[in-house]
Amino acid sequence: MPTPDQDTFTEGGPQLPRTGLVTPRPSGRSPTLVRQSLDALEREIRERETELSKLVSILARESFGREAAKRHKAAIAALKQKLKEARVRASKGRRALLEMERGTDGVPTSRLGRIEAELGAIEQAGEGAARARAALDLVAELCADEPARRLNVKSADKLDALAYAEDASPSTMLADLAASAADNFAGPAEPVEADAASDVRVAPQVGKSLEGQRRLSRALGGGRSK
Amino acid sequence: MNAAEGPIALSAEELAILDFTGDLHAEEESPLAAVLAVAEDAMLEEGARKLVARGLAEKVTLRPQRELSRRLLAVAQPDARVVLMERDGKSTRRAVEYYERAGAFVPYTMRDGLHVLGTPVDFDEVLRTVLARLPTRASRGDFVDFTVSASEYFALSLFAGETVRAARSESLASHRDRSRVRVEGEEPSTARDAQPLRIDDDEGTPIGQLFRQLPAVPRGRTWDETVRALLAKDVIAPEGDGYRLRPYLRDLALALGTKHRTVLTRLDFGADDWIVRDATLIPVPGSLFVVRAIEPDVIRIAELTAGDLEITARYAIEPAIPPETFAS
Repeated sequence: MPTPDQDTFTEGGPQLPRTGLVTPRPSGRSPTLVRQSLDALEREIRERETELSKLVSILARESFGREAAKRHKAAIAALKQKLKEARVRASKGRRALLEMERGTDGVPTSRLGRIEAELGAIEQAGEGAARARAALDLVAELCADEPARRLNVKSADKLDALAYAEDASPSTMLADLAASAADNFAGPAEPVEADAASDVRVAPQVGKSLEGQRRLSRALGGGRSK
Repeated sequence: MNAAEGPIALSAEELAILDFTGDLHAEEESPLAAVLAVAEDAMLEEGARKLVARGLAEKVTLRPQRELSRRLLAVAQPDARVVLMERDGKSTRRAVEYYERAGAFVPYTMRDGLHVLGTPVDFDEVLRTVLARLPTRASRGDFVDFTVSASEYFALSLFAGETVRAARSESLASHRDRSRVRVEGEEPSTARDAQPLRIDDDEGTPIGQLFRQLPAVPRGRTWDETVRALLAKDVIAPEGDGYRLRPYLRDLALALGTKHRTVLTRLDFGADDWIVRDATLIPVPGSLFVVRAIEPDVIRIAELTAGDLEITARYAIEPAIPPETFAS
């Protein structure tokens, strides 16, 4: 049986020593400082885990019965809360470090979160196809200028945002223009198929960037962006 | 077989006990986060019993088996997620879903209420899996590849939309024929062979009849100029007193107009934001297209060779961001 120190996933898979990759750019944070802070947090996490594992062993001897679980519930909950807080901080530090190592800290925040003015102008373009034509310019710009984009998801429900982001992007909007044309712009009106990816009811809290994207998507479909 | 060889399927009870013992901490981006939010005490005993019985946890301490810990870490606290969404016009499904942690990619699926964590693989294997789902044209010869301006793309989309509408009308007409004949008990061979979205090759439509009202083409371009540009690029052809989309673009038009598409996305989870890269691919019978803005007013429409596809997929999902994120 490995010790708790050994029994952790050893990280260090292929780290892509490829040529021609983006050189990590300084972002105001020192990787050394982040790493030191991370080391301290990981020590704290190991200590908490050891404490928790002692309690869990006691429970395991009682086969994790409901009564035993109830007896130790408060102590375990308190310990787990501290563990969770440390893990959340460690996760942030680890991700910041990874961004520096992979060079993604140089990717600017997407304009999608700052297109209020453009959306306002698109609203003025008229209805249906005219609105879509105006939106197309912005979509094409975003596609060309942001092949990799940083999305602000601070206030988002992360799972909702993920579900939306995995199926909708400026490049899918571009591809979907013909479908909008088939359904909305030409010929006699037909019922428009519900588009789950762009439906606000499906993705109520997707963060500032994806909210901008959703509104733009509606405008490109010929609908109102608000 | 060892319980941790091959895919490991975990129930909500098993995840609940791992959460209770502190062996599982799911980030907000993890598909396991939603499960843990609804865990109940009553699930713990059952979860513990199952994990031990399956050899996935040590009996005395309930420490999860090493391989299980490794996979859980990737799915619960991922550095990144790679997902391939296939949309056929009616429904969308995740065909491929991986969670990456430190270079190891763990395939994840939800099946019959169970969270299935597959065997970790490296990036090359992920790429092979993705490419295998995206067949390109096998034959050699001229691959479609041209660029259009935003105005031309808009007009092209309207022609494509009209192509879809025509196909729908034809499909409906064919359906009505079937209904009528079915009543009589015999179906003619022409109706039986009809494809749902078949288009007449020689169909042409005057542009004025296509649209109830011609949409505006801003930036100083008129419809005439735009149509002339598309004619010069061999995207449309004159027919009667109108124009039609050239036949070599019909499959693409139908796919675009019915939202048949495959989206390959990589999300890197940063400290406060996500970094997203993606590629939208349009599968047509026997081939694969990409539609992409390579400059703000230059949109490229290209049929992909196997080599193009690999470059496109690699740039979308490779862990480090290449300097030129997409090949143009």
